[in-house]
Amino acid sequence: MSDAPKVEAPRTMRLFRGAALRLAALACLGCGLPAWAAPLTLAVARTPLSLPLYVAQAEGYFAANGIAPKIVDCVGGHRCLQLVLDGGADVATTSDSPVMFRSFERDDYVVIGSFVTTAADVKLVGRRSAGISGPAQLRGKKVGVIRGSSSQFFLDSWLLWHDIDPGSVDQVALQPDEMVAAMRAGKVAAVAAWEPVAFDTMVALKNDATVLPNAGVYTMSFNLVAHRRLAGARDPELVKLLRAVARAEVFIRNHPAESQAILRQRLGVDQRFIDWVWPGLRFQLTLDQSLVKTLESEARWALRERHVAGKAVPYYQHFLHAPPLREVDDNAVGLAR
Amino acid sequence: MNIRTRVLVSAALAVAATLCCGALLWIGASRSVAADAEQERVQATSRLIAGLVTATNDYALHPEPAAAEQWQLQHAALALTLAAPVQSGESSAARLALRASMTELPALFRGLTELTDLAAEPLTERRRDLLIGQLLARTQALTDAAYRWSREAADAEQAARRWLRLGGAGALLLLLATTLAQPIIVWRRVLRPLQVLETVALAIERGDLTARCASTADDELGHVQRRFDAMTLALGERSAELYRSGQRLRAIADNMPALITQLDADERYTFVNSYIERSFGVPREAIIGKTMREVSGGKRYAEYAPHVRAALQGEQTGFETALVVRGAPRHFQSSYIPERAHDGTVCGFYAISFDITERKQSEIRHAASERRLRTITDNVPALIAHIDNEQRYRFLNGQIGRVFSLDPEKTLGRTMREVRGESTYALLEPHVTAALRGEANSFEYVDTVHGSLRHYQSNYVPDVDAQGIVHGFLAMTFDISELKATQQNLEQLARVDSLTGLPNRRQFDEGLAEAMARARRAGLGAALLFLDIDHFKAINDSLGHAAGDAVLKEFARRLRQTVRATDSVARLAGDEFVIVLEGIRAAAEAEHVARKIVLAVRDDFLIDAATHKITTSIGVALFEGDATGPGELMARADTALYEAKSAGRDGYSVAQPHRPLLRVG
Repeated sequence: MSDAPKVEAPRTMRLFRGAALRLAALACLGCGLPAWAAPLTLAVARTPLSLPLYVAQAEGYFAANGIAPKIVDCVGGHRCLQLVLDGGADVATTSDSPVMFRSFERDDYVVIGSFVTTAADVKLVGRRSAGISGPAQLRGKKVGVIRGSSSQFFLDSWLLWHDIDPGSVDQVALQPDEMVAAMRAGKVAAVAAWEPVAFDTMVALKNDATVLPNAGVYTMSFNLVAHRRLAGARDPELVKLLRAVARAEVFIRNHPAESQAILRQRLGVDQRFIDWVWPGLRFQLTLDQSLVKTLESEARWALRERHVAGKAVPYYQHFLHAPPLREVDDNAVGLAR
Repeated sequence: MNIRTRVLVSAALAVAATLCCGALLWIGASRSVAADAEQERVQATSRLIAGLVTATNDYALHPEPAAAEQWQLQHAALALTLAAPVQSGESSAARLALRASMTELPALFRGLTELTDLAAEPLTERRRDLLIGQLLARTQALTDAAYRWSREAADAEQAARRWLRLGGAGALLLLLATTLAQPIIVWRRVLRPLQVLETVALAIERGDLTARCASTADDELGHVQRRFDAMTLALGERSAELYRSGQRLRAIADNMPALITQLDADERYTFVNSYIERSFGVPREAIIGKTMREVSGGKRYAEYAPHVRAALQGEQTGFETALVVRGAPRHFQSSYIPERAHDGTVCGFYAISFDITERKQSEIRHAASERRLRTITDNVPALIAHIDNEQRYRFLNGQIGRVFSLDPEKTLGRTMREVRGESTYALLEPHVTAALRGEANSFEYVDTVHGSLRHYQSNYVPDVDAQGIVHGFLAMTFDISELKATQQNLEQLARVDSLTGLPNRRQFDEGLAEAMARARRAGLGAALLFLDIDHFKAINDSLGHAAGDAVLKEFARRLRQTVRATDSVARLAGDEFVIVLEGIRAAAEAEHVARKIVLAVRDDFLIDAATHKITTSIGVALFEGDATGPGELMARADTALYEAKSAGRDGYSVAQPHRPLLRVG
């Protein structure tokens, strides 16, 4: 055995080794090979619907499942999806509508699971001062809407439900963070907004705001959408992500009070808001044929109403990536194999 | 843990296991039944949902009242089915989803049916398309939920069946385990230890006392095994002890100077000691196994037979017998001692014979010695008696019987007081008492026996044993009457000077005191004359002792002639003489005598045909009846003699303080 003292590698060599490793990691990322050094980046919409991800992060379910995703907040699922499509994130939370809207342009993303359904997230909030008290008063009024999102589909569905031609309403394209100001400023008579924007609008306008009754015409699903390059190549991490989300949903069902506390802390909202939104939320991780049907129905609407360019409804089975969720819970996948 | 506890515990475990298994099976069966029921409900629901989907599609294609009614019926049936109580378990989530989806459908369908009555307008068509799309999507959601529910129910059913299988397998294993446990416990804790016990017991039976169970188990059989080991150890120790004892006894028996044999109930020898071998020169193996009759012979056996019979009947006997051992006749003291079995029956006897030949001979010698002693004591001229500590005669020799005319037979046992009489006993009593205290003493006494006064000398010697206890005394009495007479004669002789025939110094000393006492009593005086022969030494030396003796004899004669018969003349020693004059009234009388002596001595002495001139010097001491003692008188006479010598001899001096020396010229 040698008694020679161990000599530490020179600093230069260590730096060179580190740089070489990082380059290799980037190269792996670029070529789609599993970049074992790069964690997943999640673009999470700031909405109560993202609660499972907040809980997974707060309760350490990501770490328990061996992943350490980087979470990036974004306002609106449509923006989260855009971030994924731009390469700024690996997975996004978004409702079905953006999935439908973007399917007519590109197909480099896949839905790996729906984790929340609700028929009450998007609301039509009107200004009393604008004479809005019911559906009929919306004709000819300006209504703020977020294009390419569930807000747009909701508004159209709501109007049609109430026998109002969507064309008779002046749909003003707004971003979620512009809606409160627009209502306050009187630029729009109503807004089709999801939470917490709807609540913020109510709070901001106080008695002037009125929520127009929801007909239940649109049951929205909130989904995890990954860039298609991850499908297959990083399925193990997607499995871990879905496992963490599934576990978080169990926690939400079993510990609603603690979950609400996490939501309050994460969104910076109070219990009034929680009480406002909580009853309409259903947390369950699935990937069903109903999502396909919903997307198809929305696609037909989009084609019919000429909100998208295209002739045929996309083949939405292609936009669903079931293997990771099957590995987590085979019963959660209701798709044909 | 002891066996009892183990058995109880295993029994309890068996019962618990059976109950557990029962519970498991019950739970499994219940779950299975519940899962089956759930599956049935799922299937029923799925059928209804399929019916609803069909009805929805029907209405979408043919928006007719019948189709609408069908849809309503299907929906109602489905709602009724879903309204049943929710089973606890994992299917509740799917059912909740189903219910939620169900609530969304009526509004959508109602909206759709309302469009049927409206005119066909683009808006209406758009509405219709939207509603149909949503309705179909929600119905699909229903189907999806039902599918999940059925999957969950199937999973629950499988879980229940697994539980049942698990429960059944577990129950079987538990029952098997508990069923096996009991015999294992019995084998390990009961049979195996018993087997060990049996093995050890067999080993002990074969004689191996080192066999041990060596159990460390802390249960009943472990205790029993350890006790067994302790018992074996004790048995081994006792056996060893017995062996050592047997060896010891054999060594003792072999080395005892006694003929020791052991015979069984058939009178066969079972043990012969080595003394017999050595004594008779017969190896013991030649004797052992044979009967007494065979070994001893018929004649000899006849002598022993009664004793053998007695011993075999349980009676210990003893007798003397004579045997010839190495050609020499020997006497033996035999004892036959019955040997008893543990149940008390006689199973043989021991024959022990001690060679008492020496003792016998000793007895004979002793008896002869006794006779000799008796002859001696009876004939010795002494009165010998042995008196016990009650002062009773226990022995009298013949002499004492003859002397005191006592019949020894009648005297023995009587007290001294009775036999010797009060007066004699009074003389003896102090000495008897001293002897009985352990003090040997000798004394003389005088007693009248048969009318004659006899002098006796008795020696009482206490009879003291080794412990110092006085059991009596030996009285040896000698009749010293003749001896006494002889002694008096001798005493008489011892008072006379054999040369001159004059009283010697002893006689003089006694006589002087008596004379002085008489003088006091009579009130008269006395005189002491102390004289010697002048220059006697020269005479003795020159003439010789014989001549000297002749001078002394003549001198003594002349003195005797000179004095009165009442006066005493004694020779003290050598040439010194004294004269005691009694009845002296005056000093002149003493002087007169002194003068006469001087003159008488002056006459020539004829010694060996030669004449010699002899003179004397005389010292005179007068006694006037006072308190003067003999010694002082002698001293004064001696002083006076000295004065007479100093004055020139051949004269006398009177020892008076105030009288000068008188010289007879």
